[in-house]
Amino acid sequence: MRWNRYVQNFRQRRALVLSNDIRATETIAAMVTRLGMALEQLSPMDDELRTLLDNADGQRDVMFVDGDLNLFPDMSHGTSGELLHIPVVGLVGIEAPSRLRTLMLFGATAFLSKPVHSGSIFSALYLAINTFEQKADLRSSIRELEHRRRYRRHVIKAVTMVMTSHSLDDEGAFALLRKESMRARLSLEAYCEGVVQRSTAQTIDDKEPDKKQAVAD
Amino acid sequence: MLNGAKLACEQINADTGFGVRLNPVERDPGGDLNAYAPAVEKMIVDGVKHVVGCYTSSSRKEVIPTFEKRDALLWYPTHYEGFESSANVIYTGAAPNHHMLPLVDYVTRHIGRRVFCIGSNYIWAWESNRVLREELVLRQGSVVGERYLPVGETDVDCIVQSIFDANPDVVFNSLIGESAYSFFRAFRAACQARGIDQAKRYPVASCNLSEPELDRIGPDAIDGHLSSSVYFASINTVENRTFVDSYRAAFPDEKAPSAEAEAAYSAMILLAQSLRDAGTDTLRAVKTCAANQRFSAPQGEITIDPATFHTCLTPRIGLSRRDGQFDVVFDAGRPVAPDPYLINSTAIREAPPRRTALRIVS
Repeated sequence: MRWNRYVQNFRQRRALVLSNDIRATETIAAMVTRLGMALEQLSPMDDELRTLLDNADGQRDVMFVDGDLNLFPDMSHGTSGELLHIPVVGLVGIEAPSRLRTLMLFGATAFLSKPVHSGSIFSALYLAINTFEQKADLRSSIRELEHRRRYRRHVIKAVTMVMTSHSLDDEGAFALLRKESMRARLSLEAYCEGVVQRSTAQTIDDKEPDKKQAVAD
Repeated sequence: MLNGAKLACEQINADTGFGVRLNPVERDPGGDLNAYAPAVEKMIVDGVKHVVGCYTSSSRKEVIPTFEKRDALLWYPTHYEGFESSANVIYTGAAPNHHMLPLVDYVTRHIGRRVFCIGSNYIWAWESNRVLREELVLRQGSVVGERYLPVGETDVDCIVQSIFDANPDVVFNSLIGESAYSFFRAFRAACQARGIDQAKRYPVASCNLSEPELDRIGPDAIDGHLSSSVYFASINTVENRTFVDSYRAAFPDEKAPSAEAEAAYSAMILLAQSLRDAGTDTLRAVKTCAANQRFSAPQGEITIDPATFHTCLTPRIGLSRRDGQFDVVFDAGRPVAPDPYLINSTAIREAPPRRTALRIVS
């Protein structure tokens, strides 16, 4: 598994701060400016909040959300998956499990206790941004593996076809398919799918199935 | 450091026109980490609002909670590894971009790109070597070896041997105290035994080597070492010559002021100027006046940066001489803004691992 290298410098990112705690906002504003980040203070009353959050970019933005705001109360129950697709730091005032759960639903991967101490902001950002990236990496590798799993039956079919057409054992057939897929610059799964499809098409056309040709294509 | 601070106090108190009298109170926890916080607590209870001091990063970390709780201000004059900005500290020493970046530039331009890192096994050396590796990668250099010794360890033979094995262009040293002195002596002796001119073939570059430390190394291995610092006693300006003369007059046993003495001296003057401008010793007022405070220090003009409360300083690189002083071989020529989080110099992502990502498949 190839992991992204950790992000260690947050310059040129944008910090979105959603809180009505003035002290916390001030501390965060001073610190993120020192870290070379742009700052945008959001208001929970703002109608454009949703649009802004939908347009946020996970590679550029990071959000500080105050758990003590009663945000989107209708969404805090029964929803699965996360509301935001950007790194989130949760600001924790009341440590009730329901509040923490809401922050988790927002996608918080780091917490800062209120009153916010400027010395812990860098660590929280580091954790939030890098955990967010790791989660995204994991999701994409799961997607990739699921995709490959769905193509498994094509691989099995293609192996058995090549075994009969080339009089090879399973190891030999697999090795041949792998070599040909590399030559075609395709993944093994995609190549096998092509082999199987070509063979079925030829059968339907009621021609003599030339499996050797299919493999060599 | 204490001498520098004392000298500044005496000068301020002798100057009747200055408008402020400082009443110095001294405490020496003697390097015992557990003694720092109680010592500061006692000083603050006794009415002290401003403290100039702390050398090691670990001692600073010990006392910061006390300063924050009691609303007092620490004036920290030492060069350090960065990545901190407490609201109750004014950092008048060098930030990592003041010492590390000029040194990496100088070394890769004039000496070579293959570096061997040695250090004492604690945060200063780890963080220095991390920053060094990042900067080297940006300049197509590489770290060919890395060795750490416990703080205070003086058996350096294994390190010397691994340097010969790795055959680097330059050795980067972040050993501290006795370990460093032993290393300089042993490395020079080992090179002589092999007929190698150590200062030419394997120069040693450090960010924590000052004049008093050269004396501790001893005459056999004193010359030819590179040091990155914002101050050397040999800087040839009127301000510095006056400072060196008054320092020698005040402390006849000392040969020359160190970078630490100069930093503590400047910190004390900046504190006095801020107190004078504020007209009170409360934290908020003094901190407001400290922002943008200027002083023509022995090293040149210095200014406190209001955004980070770190200080703009002039980086320099010195090459040590037989007489225990440095020749300045590089001078930035003007003060450089502090960058404690290295936001303007390091890459967004950490340096790639040394292992290769490709492997051979059949």
